[in-house]
Amino acid sequence: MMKNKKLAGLLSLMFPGLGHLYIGRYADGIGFLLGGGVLWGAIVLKGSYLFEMGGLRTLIFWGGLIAVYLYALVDIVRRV
Amino acid sequence: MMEWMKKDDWKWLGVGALVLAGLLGLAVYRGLFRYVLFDPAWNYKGMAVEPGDCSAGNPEIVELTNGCLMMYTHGQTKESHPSENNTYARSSCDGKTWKWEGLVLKMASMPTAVRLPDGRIRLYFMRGGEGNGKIMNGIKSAVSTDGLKFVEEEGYRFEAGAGAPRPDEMSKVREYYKVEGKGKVEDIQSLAHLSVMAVEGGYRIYFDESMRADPKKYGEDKAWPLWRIRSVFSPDGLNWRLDPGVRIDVEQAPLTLLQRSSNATVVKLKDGYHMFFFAGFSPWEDLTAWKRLTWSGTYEAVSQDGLNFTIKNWPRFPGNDAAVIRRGDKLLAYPGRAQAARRGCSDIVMFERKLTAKEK
Repeated sequence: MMKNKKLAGLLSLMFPGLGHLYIGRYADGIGFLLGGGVLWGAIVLKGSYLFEMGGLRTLIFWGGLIAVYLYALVDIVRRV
Repeated sequence: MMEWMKKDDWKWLGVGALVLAGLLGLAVYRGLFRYVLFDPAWNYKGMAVEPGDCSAGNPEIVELTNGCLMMYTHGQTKESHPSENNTYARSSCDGKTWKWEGLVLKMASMPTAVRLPDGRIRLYFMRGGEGNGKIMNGIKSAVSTDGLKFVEEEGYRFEAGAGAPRPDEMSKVREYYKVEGKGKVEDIQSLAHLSVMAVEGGYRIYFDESMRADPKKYGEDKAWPLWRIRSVFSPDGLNWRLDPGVRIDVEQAPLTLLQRSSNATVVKLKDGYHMFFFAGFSPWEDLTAWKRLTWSGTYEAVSQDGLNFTIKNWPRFPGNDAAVIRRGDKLLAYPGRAQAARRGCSDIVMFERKLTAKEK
């Protein structure tokens, strides 16, 4: 069935992996969900430290989160 | 997009919206949005003191004659008895790397120090004693030529008038009261978190007065403590009298939802006195979800006379019990951060901001 590219992208932005589940790429979707889940888990559980810490660790963490979102988005747009 | 949406697509959109709402809800519940409100001028500089024990409570810093810094904290090391509350020292010449100097005074809590005109350091601290069935709660002092070896001075510099109740008699902690006029020493039941500074004509110590919240409002077991900031003044550093009124009161605007204003430290800059203090909740209140919608943290208040302060709206940086000092064209702040492994113990982190043109 033809999938809606914009909806797939929007779902990916809402949470990485949702767009992949939507288009039926379950393995990729679960992978992204796990990656995003770990990062969001760290934000919710250790948010204060992640917001306070500076320097390289901050760059790695927030850069990693943005990279997961962007990668999921680019991947979904390529595949639909 | 909408014209292409099929019935199944709407379901997926609903799932996505639910996930997003859940994440935002969690972030709100955990109070994470607070962090975007902290003053971006304050830069986090990393961990300053990570003691591995409970010896880094309530930091206060004094500049020595050689330009280096001495930090005094209270608590216990692994070697000391759990009932002890001792004063410890750490030194630093760059403000970032702190060297452990060890025990300074036994059974001495809430330390704060000021450099005297002759270069000696006078350390003020709290030490209780029992009298008339109550725990006497007063400020004592000691002097040192190097900031490490102190000789205690006789007697109390200032005594809380009412005397704190014994630890097993918390129901006898005085409830919150309004200070009428100048206020009376005998109304103050207990004091804590001292911070001394040299001011025109003498010295001023800012301290916390602790009281009990209304038990009818909060319940018998949760109605303690409230904190507010008051001060005492001395022309010579030895004889102290209560300053009139309250510096920062409980629930003072704009902090009307916060029951605790405490741990003041004041820096004199060109445009006035800048007080940095913690405002937040008693620990039990922080468990209440709706309270997370208000902003606990270290706030700043400004005054022209060191007595009447106007609180700035948003917290400056996270953390509690901060020591703040001026170093060149910068302010350095050292708030405590709770240790994950030891309940009630703190590490000390560091923030820094440049002075503005009107502050220099």
